[in-house]
Amino acid sequence: MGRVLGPSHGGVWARVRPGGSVCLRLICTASRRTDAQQQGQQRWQATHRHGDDLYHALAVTLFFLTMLLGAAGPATVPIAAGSFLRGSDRAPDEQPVREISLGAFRIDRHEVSVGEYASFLKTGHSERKYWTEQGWRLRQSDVDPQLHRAGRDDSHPVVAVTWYEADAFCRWRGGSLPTEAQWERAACGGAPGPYPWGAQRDVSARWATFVHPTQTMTVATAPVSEDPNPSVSGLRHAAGNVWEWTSDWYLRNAHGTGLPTDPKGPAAGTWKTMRGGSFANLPSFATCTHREPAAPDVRRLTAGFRCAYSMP
Amino acid sequence: MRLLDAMMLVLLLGCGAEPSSSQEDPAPDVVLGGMVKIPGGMVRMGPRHGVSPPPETIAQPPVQSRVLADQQPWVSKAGMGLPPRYYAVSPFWIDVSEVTKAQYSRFLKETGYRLPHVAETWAQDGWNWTGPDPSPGTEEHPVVMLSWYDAREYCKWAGKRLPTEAQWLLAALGPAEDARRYPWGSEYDGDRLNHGRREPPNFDDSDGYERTSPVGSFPKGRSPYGLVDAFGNAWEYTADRRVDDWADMASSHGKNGVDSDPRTLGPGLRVAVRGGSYYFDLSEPEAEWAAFAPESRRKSAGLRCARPVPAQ
Repeated sequence: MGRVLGPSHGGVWARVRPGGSVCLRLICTASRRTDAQQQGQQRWQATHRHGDDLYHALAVTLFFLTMLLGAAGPATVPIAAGSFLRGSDRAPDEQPVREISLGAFRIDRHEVSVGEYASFLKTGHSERKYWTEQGWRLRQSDVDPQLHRAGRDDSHPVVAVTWYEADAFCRWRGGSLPTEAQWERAACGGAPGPYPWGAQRDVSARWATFVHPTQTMTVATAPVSEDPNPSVSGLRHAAGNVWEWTSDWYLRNAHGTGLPTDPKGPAAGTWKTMRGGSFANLPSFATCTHREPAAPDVRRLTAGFRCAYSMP
Repeated sequence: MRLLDAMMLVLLLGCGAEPSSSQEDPAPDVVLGGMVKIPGGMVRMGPRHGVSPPPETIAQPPVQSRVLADQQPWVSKAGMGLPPRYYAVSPFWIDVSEVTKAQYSRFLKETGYRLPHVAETWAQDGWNWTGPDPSPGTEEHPVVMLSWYDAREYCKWAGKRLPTEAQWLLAALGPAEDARRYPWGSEYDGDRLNHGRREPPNFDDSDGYERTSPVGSFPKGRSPYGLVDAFGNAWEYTADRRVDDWADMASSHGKNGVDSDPRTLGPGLRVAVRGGSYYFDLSEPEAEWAAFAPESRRKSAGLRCARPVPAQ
């Protein structure tokens, strides 16, 4: 399961919310990582309780307890600062191919799950500070915020969330939606792809090959952590499963304009960009470069999201 | 005046209609590219085949809807097995013809929206747009390769909206009392529409067009209200979601046990499309009915828009 934190990931951000208030940050510093490698164990450290063994032990116990209870926060993947070739010649709105440099950031390894979104509905969802103005307006008119579980358990990706809700969720979690450039770099890391794992198309991914109009159709997602074809950087379901909202406004020619450093997309627009395809889309929609416009207030049974975080 | 308009229409259509056809022109005072006002009327939804026309006054209570085990839109069996019901539809406006590539091109240029383009091999046979202009000579053909979301965004931009399925039915077939199976009457006539055939490769040029035809190429196939290409040419998206039952049709039971203005707003997992296409055999009764995944972009899927009559 994706909650097991691999030793190769130096810094792992974890946030535990029993009751919605306790927040732990796990940091394996460079020296401690060496330490851990030598000793064959990882050292956990609560950020604001340096050196206090009692609190340390308590924090560790609490963390593992919460992991056992299945409420552990997001595992993230660090993406180092660097440049990559954004875009492709596969579709007009993916051109021109351009070298883009990005600062370092972290991104959720998994798509946000139903369970994680359920905690947000109970807590941050009612707090004004996490919402944009327009988002809060819609939030206020939504008298009975629904969790669109679609018959699936907590381990599956949340779907049918508006861009505004996704945006508020990520702020509540201490991050933001990734920019298009961040998403693309995290998904393919500048490799030609077109898929996060390479060029093979005959893999079992959560995408649609052909669905006959008379066939039964369901929200056919896989649990966020179960992905036989992770990206090179470790992301699960960057391609397929559900669409993922990004923070950029969509414009067909956005790749031809804007800065080559940390681009954030057009200043305004009508549609936000979604990335990564879904269980209801053909494989060509699930490339690292495919861009899909969507009205920010639309709820698609095929669309979810993951969050990004600036590097501490 | 009517005669003049009829002559203009013939000129516009660019085809030498025989004098006899103007005789049977049911609504000569509508212009391609414009809208026509549909007076209110009764439609029958669900299977029409083998059901006698409704009595003059409709007094029977609506068929009791079965309660679905899962009333959610998460599961769709493509809406098979709908119980037949009559619904009253209020007056509205609807496009006389399918949205053309020239019209869609204006939308693309003004907004920067995504081009109709699918990066799959089947789409590279002249279906993909490579710029915001349609390929020369195809300007008056219906725009296809749109998803339901694309269609919805176009109508929104045009200050219109997608017709509900009930509105589409009324506009295409006239009121239920007429008991038409086709826009022109009850007998199939393959010369009155741009149709395909059942066997692969499905394309059929016996009607003069292997693929799409300029809108209005089949004036003898017009609906009682003057709609052209309601059947054939391109599938047309409606605003409605396909459900397995009408249990969740959000409508009140009105007078005489008749529901008014039924809507099951999309998308859900399937949306209701009507009209068939150049790629489809329409000789069977009710063949013009289908359910598409709202995500898919098909080379036969287009649209026409509607507009409510403003409140007086």
